[in-house]
Amino acid sequence: MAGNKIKLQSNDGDTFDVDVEIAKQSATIKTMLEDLGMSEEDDVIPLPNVNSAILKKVIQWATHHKDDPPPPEDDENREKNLSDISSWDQDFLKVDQGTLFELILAANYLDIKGLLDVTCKTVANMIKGRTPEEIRRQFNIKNDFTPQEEEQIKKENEWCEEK
Amino acid sequence: MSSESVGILSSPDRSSSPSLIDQLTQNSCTATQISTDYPGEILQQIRSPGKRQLTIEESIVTTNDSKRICNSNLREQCDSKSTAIITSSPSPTSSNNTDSISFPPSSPLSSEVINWLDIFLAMSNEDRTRATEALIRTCSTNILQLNQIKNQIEPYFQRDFIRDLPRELALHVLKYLPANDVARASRTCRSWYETCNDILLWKRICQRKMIPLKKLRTIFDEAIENEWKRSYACHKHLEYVWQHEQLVPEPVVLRGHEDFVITCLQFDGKRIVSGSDDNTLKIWSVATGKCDQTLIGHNGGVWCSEMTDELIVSGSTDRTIRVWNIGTGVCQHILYGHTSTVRCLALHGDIVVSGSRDATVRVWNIRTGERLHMLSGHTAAVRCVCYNGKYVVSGAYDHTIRVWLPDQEKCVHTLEGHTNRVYSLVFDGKHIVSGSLDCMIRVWDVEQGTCIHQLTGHLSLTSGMQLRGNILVSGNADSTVKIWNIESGKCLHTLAGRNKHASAVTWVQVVLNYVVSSGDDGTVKLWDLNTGDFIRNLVTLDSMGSGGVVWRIKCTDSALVCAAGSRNSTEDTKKHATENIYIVTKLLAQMMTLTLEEFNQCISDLYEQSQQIHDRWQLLKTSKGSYLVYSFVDQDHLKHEFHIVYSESYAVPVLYFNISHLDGSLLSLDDVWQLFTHKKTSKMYETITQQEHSILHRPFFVLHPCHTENVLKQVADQPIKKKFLFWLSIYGQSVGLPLSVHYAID
Repeated sequence: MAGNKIKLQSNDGDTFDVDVEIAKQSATIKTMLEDLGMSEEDDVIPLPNVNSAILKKVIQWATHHKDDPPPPEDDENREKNLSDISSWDQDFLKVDQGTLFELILAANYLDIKGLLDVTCKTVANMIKGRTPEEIRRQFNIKNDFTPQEEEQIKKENEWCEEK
Repeated sequence: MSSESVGILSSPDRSSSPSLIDQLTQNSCTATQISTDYPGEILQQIRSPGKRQLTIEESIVTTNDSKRICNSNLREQCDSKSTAIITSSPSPTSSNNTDSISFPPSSPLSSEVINWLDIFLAMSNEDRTRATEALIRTCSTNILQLNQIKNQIEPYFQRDFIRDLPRELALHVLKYLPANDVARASRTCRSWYETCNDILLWKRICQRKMIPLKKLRTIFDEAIENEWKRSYACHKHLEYVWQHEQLVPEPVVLRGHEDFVITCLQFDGKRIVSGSDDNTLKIWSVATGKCDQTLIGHNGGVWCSEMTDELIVSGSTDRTIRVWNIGTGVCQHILYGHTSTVRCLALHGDIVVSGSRDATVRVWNIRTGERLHMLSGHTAAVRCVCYNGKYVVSGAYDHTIRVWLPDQEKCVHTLEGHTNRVYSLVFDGKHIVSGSLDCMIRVWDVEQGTCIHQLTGHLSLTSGMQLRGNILVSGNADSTVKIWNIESGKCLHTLAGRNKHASAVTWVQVVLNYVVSSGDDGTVKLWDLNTGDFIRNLVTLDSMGSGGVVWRIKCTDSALVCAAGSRNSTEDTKKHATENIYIVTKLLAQMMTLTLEEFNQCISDLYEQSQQIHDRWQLLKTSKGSYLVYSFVDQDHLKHEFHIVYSESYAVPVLYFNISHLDGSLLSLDDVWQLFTHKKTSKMYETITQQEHSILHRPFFVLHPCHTENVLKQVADQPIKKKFLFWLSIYGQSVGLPLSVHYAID
């Protein structure tokens, strides 16, 4: 089974040879291979929602994480931990927001839970602890509230913003 | 071309400088073009650099920070920016002024700049790269300039995740954030506000902190639409009030049962029921601070009580149990059977279980007054009892706890282990926790009948315990409160230290995430349930030190009631207090069912409508309050008179009525009941009593308001006016008040 490779094709035409086991971290690809009976040999798996640059990053992530244990079931009612991102992942995600954005979409489309979680956590970390103005600066957002609306929303949130 | 270059832009692998300048110049041309083509209005949604087309935002944009440029006015700024860069202008603020209102979109580039751009555009890609590098290197000596360039470029690398991601992915990001961050994020802009107010997001936030949904009206109703967010805000507010706020400065002090011990206390947020050694129980209204009823009938001290919405059950040294109607104060049943003091009660639905000094446990139906079962087995006084609908659990002075199946009158387990009298019990259906004079607390499994844990550590008798999930809180005469985990059997915290009680702890209760404890030292203390930290003293009796004692406390989320008194210094502790005081501390303005203002508004409105449809309602305003009157004469020449008056203690409208002969003589009670016998089965009928009209001070029949709140609950989310009419139609109907349908029409 070792060395069994599959071809993944980005929407801009580039193809990448990837180990099947690594590729199967994507539930979407796994489904395509297993349930839809796509053969592993000659076929190329087209990924119309992912461009070549992003696909390259995704493959890089999946390769590094190939030996990870399967992620645990999400306990909705437990406090989520934002600080448990590995240092490799932190470095991997030191990219511009545009890339991070595309990675979230790709992780969602390819259904790679670990990548989706870590990218979303990264964005959450960019919001955490910040005032609304700092958040606006972080993401380049326009404040489209009228002063009255701002006042009203501030009141509404008064108690919710307490630590 | 633009979308491709933009796509390349987001790739971290490609060097972006040439293509950026490419795009920049491209866009500057486009910008000028667009601005000339569409002079005022510029179109659609800006989307961050990405696969989508870049267009210009419709509204003129300003940002709070004058240095920021939004993606939206990127185009318009391009022109002046390029100017700034080229001419090395040292004033970043002016050129970065994003107040587009003052910045005309079609400000022309100087001819020098245009020439320069033309030359640049004519260059090969390689030359462009070189040129840009050189440009940046030149500017690098000027930090301000470099900053400008960075500020120019940065927006291209930013994405508005929450707005642009599909909603479920945006929520996936937000769910990692605690409430305060979500709340702050919602203040960023409209699209974030909308997403951050997602109801499931807040539901999850509340569930994580075990905050229940607040259905009743709250002070945040106007401000917050999202019901889970509202519940969260309420919870936070309550926490703040418990922890910080000065309790209502003049706590309502209710004096009663003078010279006698208060033995038991019930509190449902609206009414307090106190039982005493003076053979009575008293019902107090939280709203008015007055004693509404004194329940007289027992021939001995009342030592235990239970309370439902409608009934009070009391046990006495006179060996009986009495069932009282809360509204009328009438004793509905007297339950005979025990041959000694009834010492403890447990209520479940219509069933009450009583434990007595006669060593038996008896089971009764409080609706019918039926004696159902007798459970014999204990060999000494039964001191505490619990019932969950299936098992009866009783603790006695014979050192044992017995588990019974009442319907079979069978004792399924006798739990032995304590070496002295059992004084207190808590039961959650699975675990039984017992406190004994042997200083131990034991945890038992009700099914197996085995002792799971012995909780050691206390040095004296445990006076009160409360169980929340697996966490047990125990108050002990050794002056400490302990917090245990009954699964592990470990003591998690001991609430003592510098701020500990100076003498015996008399009662504990768990409220929100706090432990509230009362003591012989005259204080009521607030502790953090999770950390065991002391927070503050909620109450400190003036007579502290000189015998002021808080016997018992009962809390709701937003109010605290204490029964207090003073011990005189006799040896015989059964000899009692010289003074009994209740302190009711209202921590949070409670939402009344109908405020006085709302009532006055409703009756005004009704009167107005009545005028319009030529009906007979009269509105009377007096110094004691306003009320409505309606009267008519029926075919038997009986005059019917109806008054709608406001009840302060129940905070609801009340319907008074009288029926009289034309000569003015009132119908007797019997006659009135005759008139309504056909309605005997209705619940309303049960509540007809005779009372003094609160404003006119003469006797009227009244449909007692004790049910009104429940009735109004059915229309809880309706506007006030509808609620009022709903009430009037139901109550009025029971006593023959005609109400035109026109009132229901707006």
